[in-house]
Amino acid sequence: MAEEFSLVHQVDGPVLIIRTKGYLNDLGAEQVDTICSDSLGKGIKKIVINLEQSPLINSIGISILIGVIEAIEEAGGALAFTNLTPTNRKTFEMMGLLQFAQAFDAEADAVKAYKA
Amino acid sequence: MADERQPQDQSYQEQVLRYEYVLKALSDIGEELCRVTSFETQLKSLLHLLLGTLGVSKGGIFLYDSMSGELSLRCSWKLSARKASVVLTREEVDALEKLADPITFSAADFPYLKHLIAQFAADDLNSISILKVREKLIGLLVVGQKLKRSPFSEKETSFLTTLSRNISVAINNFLLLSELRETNKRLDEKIQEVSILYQATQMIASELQLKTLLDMAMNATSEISEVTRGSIWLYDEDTERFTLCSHLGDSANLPEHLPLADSPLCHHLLQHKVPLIRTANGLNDLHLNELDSRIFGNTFIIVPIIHQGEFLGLMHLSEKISQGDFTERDQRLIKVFAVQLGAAVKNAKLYEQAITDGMTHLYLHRYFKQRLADEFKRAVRFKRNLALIMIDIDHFKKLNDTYGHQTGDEVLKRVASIMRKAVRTHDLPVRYGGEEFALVLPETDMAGALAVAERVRKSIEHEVIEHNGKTIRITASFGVSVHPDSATEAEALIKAADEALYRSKENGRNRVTAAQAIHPPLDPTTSSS
Repeated sequence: MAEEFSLVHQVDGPVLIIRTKGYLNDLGAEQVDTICSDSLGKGIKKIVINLEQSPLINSIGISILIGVIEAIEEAGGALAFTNLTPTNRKTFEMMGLLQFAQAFDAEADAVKAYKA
Repeated sequence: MADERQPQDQSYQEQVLRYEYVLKALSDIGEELCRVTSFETQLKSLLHLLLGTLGVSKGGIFLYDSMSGELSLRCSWKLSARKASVVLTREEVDALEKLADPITFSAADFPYLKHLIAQFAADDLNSISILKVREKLIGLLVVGQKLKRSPFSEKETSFLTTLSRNISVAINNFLLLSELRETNKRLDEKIQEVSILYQATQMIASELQLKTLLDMAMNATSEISEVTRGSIWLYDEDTERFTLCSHLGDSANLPEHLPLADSPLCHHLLQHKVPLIRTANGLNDLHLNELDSRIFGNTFIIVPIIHQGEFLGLMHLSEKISQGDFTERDQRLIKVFAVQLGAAVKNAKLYEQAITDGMTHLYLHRYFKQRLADEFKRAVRFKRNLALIMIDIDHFKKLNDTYGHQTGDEVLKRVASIMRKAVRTHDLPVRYGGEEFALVLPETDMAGALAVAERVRKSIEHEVIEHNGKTIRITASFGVSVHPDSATEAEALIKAADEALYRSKENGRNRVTAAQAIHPPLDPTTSSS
């Protein structure tokens, strides 16, 4: 049985960090979109999504992340994904997500890059 | 050579990966079918599955309702408008249903429903797919652009068509399943209603004691509709008044009788013979006077009790436990139950007429014999007391001769009325014959029976009857026997009470005499005025 999706988020200076947990195949993942929209509304436009604990992402998850990418693009912000599994990385590349978002191995690297 | 093949291999690998991804989406659609969630949730999941598979940021699913002919946006993601609908003409439905391939169009080239699609101009839609299963229109699927507006490849358009077909089947199955669930739910409710009614009607169908029957009916309806207040009133055509026969909850505000002339509500019910319902939001245009409001409350349902067109009375229910209004289900069940109750009340009334004396309304001798035998068996079986009081009006023949039969009848009615007031629910007041009466008192010992007899004797003694300006006073003599003290058989119990009554007469009348005890020896007790 797939683990139910949940997330935690925190603001670190100019960066919003979202750490997801569980399979990104559920409508619960729409929370990512809501939190990002709220953050953009507050002027925090650099967002790091740590997917370490979400090793499985299907089309539902991708559709939500595409929505996030588009919103950040429109707001002139920047998005990074970290801790991607090799499979997820391939999927992201194939679907063109990594043309609009950076991939980092570790969350700390992404935050450091965005703080610079 | 190896260098030339490398980019080609990479391209194949990417294509395989893409196909794998689409296949996974198709399998997810299948899985989605098996999930137990709401239809709206499933629809949204399907939309996300499709958008994520194509790499599109926005889209929506329109569903077609063949009943209303309306095509409406039921689910969307990131579209500028959340609501949109249009009623399709028969020609439009035919055109969409009979359309052969392709079912997927570039949004700009879609030849149908231009007015509807124009509402999404701000969303820069890329494609529109017609959702249908075997020429049955399910709806429309609209999708936006890929990231950076990169165009759909031929393969992606083909994926969209394939996914649209799968989504059509999935939605069709969801709809059929929802319809099936809804039908099952309705069926379950019906079965439950029939079962409740069956139990309730079974309960009342065989009951011939009117009072017991109406109490049962009151309890049954309180359970059916979960109310805390209610009453059943029977109507007497001769006196044009309703009599309270059973009630539920506080009866402090309920009179014993309700004259028809005092109640506009009852008048309306008798005239129209249809249920009256008053909800918290107000009522039809019925006028409620103070008395009606006090008796029936502010929210209620009142149903007439009718048998073959004859108005027998009414059943009133109010104050739902849930504090809410009466539901359609409540109304349906109560109406059906009232029909059954009408037949049961009529039967009980006929039975009562057959076993009671028309003038005194006391039970007849024939019924007395049968009930006494039954009560005797019960008393023997459960080793309980059973008392019998025989009553004879003193000098009745002389009274009849002096004042006439009308006065004699009046005396009989007065004595009967005193007896009825003196007894409990399970006691049996009987007109034994002529001026002789009897009282059967289950589970009553000699001391208890003597007390009842003495109370009745005094009441008769104090009764005043007016005749042509004259005051007539009457007295009666009593004989009391009890099982097992006085007799071990029903006939012997009557004989013992009769003998005690005879002794009362012998000893000067207007007195109560206890029968001789057969075992253990008991001193006969005599009390007199």
